[in-house]
Amino acid sequence: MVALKWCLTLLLWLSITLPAMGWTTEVALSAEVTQRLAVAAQQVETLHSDFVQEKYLSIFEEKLISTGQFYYQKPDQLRWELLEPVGSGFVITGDSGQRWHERIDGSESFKLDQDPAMALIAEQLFAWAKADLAWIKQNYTISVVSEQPIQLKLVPLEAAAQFLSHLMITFNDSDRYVVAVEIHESDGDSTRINFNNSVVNSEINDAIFSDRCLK
Amino acid sequence: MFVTLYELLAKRSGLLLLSYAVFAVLSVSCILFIQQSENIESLLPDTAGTEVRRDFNWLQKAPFARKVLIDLHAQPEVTAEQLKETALTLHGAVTPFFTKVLSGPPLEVQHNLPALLLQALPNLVSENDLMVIEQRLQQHSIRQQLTQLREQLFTPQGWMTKQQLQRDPLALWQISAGHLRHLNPMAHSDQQQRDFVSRDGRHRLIVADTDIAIGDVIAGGKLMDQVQQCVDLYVPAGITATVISGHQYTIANARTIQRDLRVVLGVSTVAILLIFILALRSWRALFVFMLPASVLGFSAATVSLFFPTVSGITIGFGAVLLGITVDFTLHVYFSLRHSGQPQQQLRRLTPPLIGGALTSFLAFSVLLASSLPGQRQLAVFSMTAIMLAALLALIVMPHLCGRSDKRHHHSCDDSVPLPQRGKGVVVIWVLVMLLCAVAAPQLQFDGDMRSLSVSTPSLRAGEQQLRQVWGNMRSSALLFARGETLDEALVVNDEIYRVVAGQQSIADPEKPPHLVSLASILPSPQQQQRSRELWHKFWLKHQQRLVERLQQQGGEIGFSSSAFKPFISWLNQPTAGVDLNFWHQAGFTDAMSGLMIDDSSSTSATSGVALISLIDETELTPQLQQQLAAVDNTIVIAQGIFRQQLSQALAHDFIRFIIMALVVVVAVLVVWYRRLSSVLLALLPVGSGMLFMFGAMGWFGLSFNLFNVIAAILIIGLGVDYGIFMLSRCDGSGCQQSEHAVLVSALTTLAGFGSLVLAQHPAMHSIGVTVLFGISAAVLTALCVVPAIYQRLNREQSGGER
Repeated sequence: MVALKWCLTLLLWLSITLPAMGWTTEVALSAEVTQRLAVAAQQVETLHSDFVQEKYLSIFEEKLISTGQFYYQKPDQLRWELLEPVGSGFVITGDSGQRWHERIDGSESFKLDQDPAMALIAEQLFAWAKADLAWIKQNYTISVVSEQPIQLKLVPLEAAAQFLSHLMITFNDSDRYVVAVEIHESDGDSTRINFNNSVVNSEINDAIFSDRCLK
Repeated sequence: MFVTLYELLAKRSGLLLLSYAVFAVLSVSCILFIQQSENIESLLPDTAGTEVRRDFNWLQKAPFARKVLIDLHAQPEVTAEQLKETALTLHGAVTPFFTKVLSGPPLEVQHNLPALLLQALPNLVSENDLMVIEQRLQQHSIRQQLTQLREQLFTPQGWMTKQQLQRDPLALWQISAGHLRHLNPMAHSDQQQRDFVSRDGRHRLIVADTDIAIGDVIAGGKLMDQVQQCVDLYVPAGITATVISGHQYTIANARTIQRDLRVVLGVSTVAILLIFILALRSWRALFVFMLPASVLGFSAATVSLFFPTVSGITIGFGAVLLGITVDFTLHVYFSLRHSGQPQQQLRRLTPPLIGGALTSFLAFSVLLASSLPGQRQLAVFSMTAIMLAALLALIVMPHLCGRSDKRHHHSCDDSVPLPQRGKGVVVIWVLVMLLCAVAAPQLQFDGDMRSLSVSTPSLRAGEQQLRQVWGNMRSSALLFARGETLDEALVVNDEIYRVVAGQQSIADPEKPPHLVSLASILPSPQQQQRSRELWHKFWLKHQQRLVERLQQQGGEIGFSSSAFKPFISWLNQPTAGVDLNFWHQAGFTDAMSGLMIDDSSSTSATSGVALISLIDETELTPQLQQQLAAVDNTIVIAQGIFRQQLSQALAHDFIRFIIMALVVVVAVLVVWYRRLSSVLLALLPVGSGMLFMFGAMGWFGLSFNLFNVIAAILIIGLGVDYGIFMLSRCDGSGCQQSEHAVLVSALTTLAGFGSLVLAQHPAMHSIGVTVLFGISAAVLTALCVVPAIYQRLNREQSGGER
């Protein structure tokens, strides 16, 4: 009986610690998971979240923490705004957008086809927001780390591979939106973004996606 | 001889007509088979010593010569965002109709552009750039820069730019980026914007490329219609779209010509019909016009024997000048048709007709000395046409004009004297000529080809707006740096940049060099080597201080001590030079191609590599021109200078031609008459016509252009003919139908060419003005003044003899 008790305790300890040590089992993206994500994504028209970003960069002595807000509306509108420690952000509608910084009045227009860096960022953010697996499959090798909640590991295929090692994306229990993104860079640096207070399908004022000032 | 020939052919009129029919058919065939060139180059001087033609060829290579520009101007109530949205929408809407459409600088911006610009920097730096870098090494500048860098790392952009920020913490790539402004031909645009936006933010520009030739009226018209439809559909109220392109000038010209043709053809048809009904009254009079017209093909064929390509302009003007040859057939028609003694009439008519033809033939021959190939072609064409038309008039026409009602028949021996002309006619003529003599010196020669083209008020306003808002890009001065290879051209280009920048800094020491040039981003290998040496020296001096400050300021902000090792390491690495391929890979192919012509595989005079720099024409001062002239393999071309050179060349050529033509005509008349009074009387119509034309144009403030000169030939030819025929009428050697023939000849000329004065097209209008003034004065002088003076001279002579 004592042996059984020890065995159970060991199993329980292993079940907690091994995943934390990265000893998780990754499996290929199944049709079932794909179907779950696709069905859930279809139900999302708008999404609003607060986020906390933690950066672990070798060029800094300490981790960098920032907070902000994220808005998304189908099919192609997005707002990413950093509130602390420095106010800055951008909105994208279609193939053009505006960006701003707290030290500069007004905002600056950009077109995605003229700004490759912003185009790459927009693609990533839209893919996470939409759970666009078709696009993700074209750019990453996808494996499933966990099915409940769904956690995907994305290893870049081409363009981003020079600076990106992999991404970890965790969905909420209902599979409808992302609750955490981890960006692991090739040089060992990493960034974790936790999305919280997420609201799905609430009405979002159009002004949110048009320019800097929230109306 | 012609009388004998007449008698011989009178018995074989069928054979004669058949021969003529064959002649006419062959002539028409010649026209069909001759390859005509529509190249404007036939109107440019090609003689040694002139650079007009070379400059014209280089002008065609100007970057903005063939582009369609659409300026969008927002009214105050329209926001910058609405203007931008409209520009984006219109950009998308017109894209299917063009090969390329740009609403911003043609840079295929790569995400690694800052890295590439940093890599290029050691090869591009100047002393001024190093001073800017030194400013960035100040404590506060470094702190400010590192703070921004830290903030940037919080943003999503920071995910991708972290390595670049480590390699370039001072954002030195911006120094190279500053060099890129020299690729922007729009001097007045807001260079901070990614799109073509004016400094006040109220204008946006769309620049479109098309394969459609500027001269293609149909395709160009369709293209402009499509653009206009897009403008109508997508440009809302409050935003004004102004479209500017060379095609619009072609279309405006074509539409004006179409309108003019309707008006002019209508008026001239009615006028010629009236002349026909009132003066000619027979279907046989059609031969009067048909015979001269039938020499057109053979005349063109003769031109093709002497010139590799026949200019369409030559044929067009040649056809106009054929009007002169109608004179010959008209005289034959009137003389023989109204006479019962054709042989006798022909005998009397032949000398003045040959005299008239000879003077015209020789007058045109002076054009052979012209520096314009088109003029030389015109000389060959006209000389052939005059010779053939005179022969047809004397050989064929007598058999085609028929005989009129016998009641009207006169013999040349019938001495029907000319009606007496009063003294008042001469007095009025003298007064008019004096008035004209006063105004004639005011007449200016205008060699500007643009003044011969239609320019609507809206086109002029559009050009003006474009200049004000975007700079003088469509008419910048072009500075060509030539070399057999790219490297050779780059060396010349560096020197041009140095000279222009030096001159500009003298004019305004505060202002940085403002010319469009590749030299700022693609210097010659030698110049790059000099820049690298400057760079190396600079960092030898400043590197230690930089390291210390990065450590200190970075540490205070939170950066680790190794954060900027990649940057310091890069500063100490040897740097490779930049070449064309480097910039192509950086996405600058389109931006650079407009400033580079690679004809190294060609065998033409412009073969090799040429790099184009652009400066505002107002800055091309005589001093700068002088300095640039001292730079080998440099060609400086400005539209203003080009127009001035062309104007001078043409003015010199044409004045010389008119004087030579008059000298030849006088010489022929002196040999012909051997009597001063007769020579002067014969010259009176042409002299009066020319003086009246110059004087009237002077009074009306008109200028004399290329087309006036060509039409002036018509005046000289016809004016001399009028003089010769009227003198023969006065002295009784000619036929009394001469004044009738002269009058009808003048009326048909005025109906056909004088009616062009109603045209709006400047070229057609110029011909009309010349003919109207010149022929009117010449014919009135011939019909009224020549007889009056002749009669007076005759009376004095008779009185003296008594």
